[in-house]
Amino acid sequence: MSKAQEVAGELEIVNPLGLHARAASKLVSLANKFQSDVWLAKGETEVNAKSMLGVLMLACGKGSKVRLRCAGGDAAKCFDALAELVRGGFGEI
Amino acid sequence: MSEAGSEGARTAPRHERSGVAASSGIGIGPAYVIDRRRVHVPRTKIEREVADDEVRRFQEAMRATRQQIEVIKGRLPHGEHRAILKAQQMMLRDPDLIGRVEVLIREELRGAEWAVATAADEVHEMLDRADDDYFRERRSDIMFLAERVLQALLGDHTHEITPPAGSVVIAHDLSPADTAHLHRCQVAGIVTAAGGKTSHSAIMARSLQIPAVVGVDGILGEVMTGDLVVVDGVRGQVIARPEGEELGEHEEERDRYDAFEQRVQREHAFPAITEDGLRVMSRANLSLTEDIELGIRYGAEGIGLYRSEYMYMNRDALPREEEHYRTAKMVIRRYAPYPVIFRTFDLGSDKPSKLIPFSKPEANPAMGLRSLRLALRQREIFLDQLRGLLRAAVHGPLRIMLPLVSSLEELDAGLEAVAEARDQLESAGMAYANDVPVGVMIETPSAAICADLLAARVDFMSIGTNDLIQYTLAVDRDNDDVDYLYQPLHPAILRLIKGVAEAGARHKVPVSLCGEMAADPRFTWVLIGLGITELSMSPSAVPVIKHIIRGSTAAEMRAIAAQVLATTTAREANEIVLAAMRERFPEHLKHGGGRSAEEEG
Repeated sequence: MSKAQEVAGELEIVNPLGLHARAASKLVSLANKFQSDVWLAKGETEVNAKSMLGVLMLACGKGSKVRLRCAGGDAAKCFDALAELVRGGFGEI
Repeated sequence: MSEAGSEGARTAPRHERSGVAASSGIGIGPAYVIDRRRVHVPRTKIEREVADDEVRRFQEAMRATRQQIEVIKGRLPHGEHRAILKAQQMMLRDPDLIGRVEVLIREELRGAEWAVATAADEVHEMLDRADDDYFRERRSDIMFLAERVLQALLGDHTHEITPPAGSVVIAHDLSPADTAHLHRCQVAGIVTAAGGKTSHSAIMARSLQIPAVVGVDGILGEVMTGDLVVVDGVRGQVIARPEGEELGEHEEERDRYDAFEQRVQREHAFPAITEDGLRVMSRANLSLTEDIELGIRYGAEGIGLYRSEYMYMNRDALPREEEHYRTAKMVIRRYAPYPVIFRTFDLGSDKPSKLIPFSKPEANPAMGLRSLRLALRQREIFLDQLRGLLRAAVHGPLRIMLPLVSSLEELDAGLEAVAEARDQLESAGMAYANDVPVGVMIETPSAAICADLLAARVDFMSIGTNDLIQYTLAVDRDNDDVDYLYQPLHPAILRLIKGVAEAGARHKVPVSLCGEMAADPRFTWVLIGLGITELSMSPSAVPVIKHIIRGSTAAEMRAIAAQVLATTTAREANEIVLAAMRERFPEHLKHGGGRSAEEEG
């Protein structure tokens, strides 16, 4: 495994329904495909993005700003893949 | 049956309650009450040596529950429902939840049942704090899952809800898995104490076409399993233990409703053309993208009113140009080749969005800073929406409608904003449609009276009768002291509608009507007779209204309209219309009403 690294950035939830159950399950499924630890934060609260309930508990409506943080060997790849999913509105729009 | 005769024969008397009509239809059957709050959780401590075994028992229960949901999922055809269940399966694989339960078992030495119940309560509490209804409602997902896991742990497999076919399910709330399962059980109806428009049980009941009334507060304390229950999903009523001849009457009504519904729905896709060849476009009103399929299913020829203000509610940040673009694109693609008419945001201090601050409280919100006036004041927010819509119009027949116009100057200011949005896109080098039809909503008396002036500048007009009636008659129909004055067939309203239709015809501008009047079978003849050629309504009303149009002639509609225009009071007009419609469309009148309520909100 390559050297551990951390990649982070701000994203906006753009799909009409926000990070609701269906969108959250896509996010969590994708996060689980990577070795990196993945964290998602809104305001002061940061949750494990590999946890469905964690992501739901953030209660992100559309327009929410979230901070995505990936740490691990495949952090860069992981961040890019997740950021693309979020920016593309989870394929819903 | 005399009152004395019935005494003592029943344990409880007849009981009637109302709630939210969530899915139309009438269901009658014995109640099957699901009271989940009764599940007993044993709170036992365990010895440290057996903690590993206890964790394994927990993991096994999680696996068994995932499998149960997999089985239910496998029986479902519909994509939407499967996706919801998939999300629940993921909750069952959730590392945080599993980790928390394992900590409770290993460190606090709680039995698996107690640990699961505790962890579920913690999640429930967290979701409780969300200020968005959608996320608060996910509390029920976690409670349902916890209960299934508990049943697996307790070895209680008999607890799976299997109501007998034909029964009416009464529950506090239902999970999507439950609702899908109930469909297979062929239940007659659903009543829940909790829930509103956005609850999964309401959405799923609508899409599975099971009669349902939700939000019936206190129903669980009033009905016992076995009690006979009537669910009226058209009116939003529930009757427990109907008495005497009442039951027979409700049964007959149900049978007639079902036969009627089948007949009307069979022909939902046929165009609405009168016997003498007048085509009337029948479109749907739409508020939530989640309901996008309803219009298609009920044969709507496009969306006549897209209420874009819902994009500004229950959220943390303003929708920007990109989101307007994507949302509009999705909707128009679904409905092409039929058009989708986007009403620009219609917000006001009585219909607020926390994202658009109001300068001061208003004594009279209906006449205050609202709708187009607010949009012109909040120009950047308005331009964001207009740019998004103009860009989306590249992908299909999109139209823009400006609400609450009260003068020519106001209309011009709105049109100017559209032109500015176009210029901005032009200089930014973005692709947009140059020929997007822009229309005006006629909902103030001044706009209706001056419709000829407005018609000269727009591509279409749409009469919003809800507000037009309120402003013209000075009646708030939500005020039950004066709501008797809310009369759609008041001579003033009839004259205004006729005037707008004529102004449209003179300027070759189509005139549609998108208030609740459009969904009401009583008014179909009068409206078309007055010259309206497009109606937009609650999706489930479309087949009924189309059916009436196909069974009528434009000539008889015009004759009725002429008769009604000659009346001097709304009462007289009502009598004429009712007599005519009762004679020709008694079933449509009886079963077709009330559908505007299903969608309202």
